[in-house]
Amino acid sequence: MIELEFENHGSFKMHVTCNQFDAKVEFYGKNYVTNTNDHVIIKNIYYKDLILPELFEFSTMSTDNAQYANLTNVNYVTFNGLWQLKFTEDDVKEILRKKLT
Amino acid sequence: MKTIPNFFTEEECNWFKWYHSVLPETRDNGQRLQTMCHYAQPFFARKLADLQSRLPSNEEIDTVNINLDYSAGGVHSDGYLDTEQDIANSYLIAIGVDDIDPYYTLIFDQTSRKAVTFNSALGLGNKGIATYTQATREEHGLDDTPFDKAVYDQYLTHLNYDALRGFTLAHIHEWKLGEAMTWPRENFHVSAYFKNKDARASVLITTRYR
Repeated sequence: MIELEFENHGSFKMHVTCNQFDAKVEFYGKNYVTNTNDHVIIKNIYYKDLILPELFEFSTMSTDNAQYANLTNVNYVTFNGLWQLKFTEDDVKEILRKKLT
Repeated sequence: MKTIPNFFTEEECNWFKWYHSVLPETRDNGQRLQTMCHYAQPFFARKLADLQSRLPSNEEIDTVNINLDYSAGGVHSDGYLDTEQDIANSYLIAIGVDDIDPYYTLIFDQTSRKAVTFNSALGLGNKGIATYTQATREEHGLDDTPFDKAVYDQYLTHLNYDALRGFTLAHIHEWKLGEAMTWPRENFHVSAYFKNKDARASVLITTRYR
């Protein structure tokens, strides 16, 4: 199971869904006029209790900002939108292989 | 010598089997597939803290290995490897058992603070040797008192009976899923003979005193 660790700096609201190999976080509620600096840091990704920040490479985010509509490798969120993570067990094996060999 | 029931839940036993399956390096030492848990790596930090919290506060983890045994091993101690240190206890947690034909680990009264094995003296040659040095009976002052024949016949027929002269039995642990079997690291111990080579799996945690 995936677990996500957040650090919320401001008024962002989040709806988090975590499954075996994918996760979604809906970020909403930021007022760009009154809360310019609000942001969320996704501090870490845990997969089955292993701390694997390398999984951020498998993340994407679509936002409501035209200039930054589609992002990859996201751990710092400043726009309302949908953050998604999707990987396979082979990806986990490859991450561990790179770390240990 | 004591046991700690439910040291791991069944889910936690399965976690270690899964972890073994995703790690890149497994060592085959001729008796078992052995995988280091890389307990000091940052990615294992949460699991390490969890394991450490289950142990006495005056002990810290020194080794965490996953072992899938396919052959019964020889007599050895899990003491220090190169440099003398304040070794504490071994915690052998069964994560794979056979309910019909149970596995056993026998603990002896004799000790060695340095990690050594009698595999060669017991007729197993260099099987099961990865980092431990071979010991001789003379080095450890074993006398010629015959080993308990009934215990030998029931548990240790994979070993040379005469080579067990001088050893005395301290305890027999029967493997139960999720249960931690403990003994001082310096105590010699051995796996009992077993037939089912497919199910036997364990996590070995060794500790030192803080």
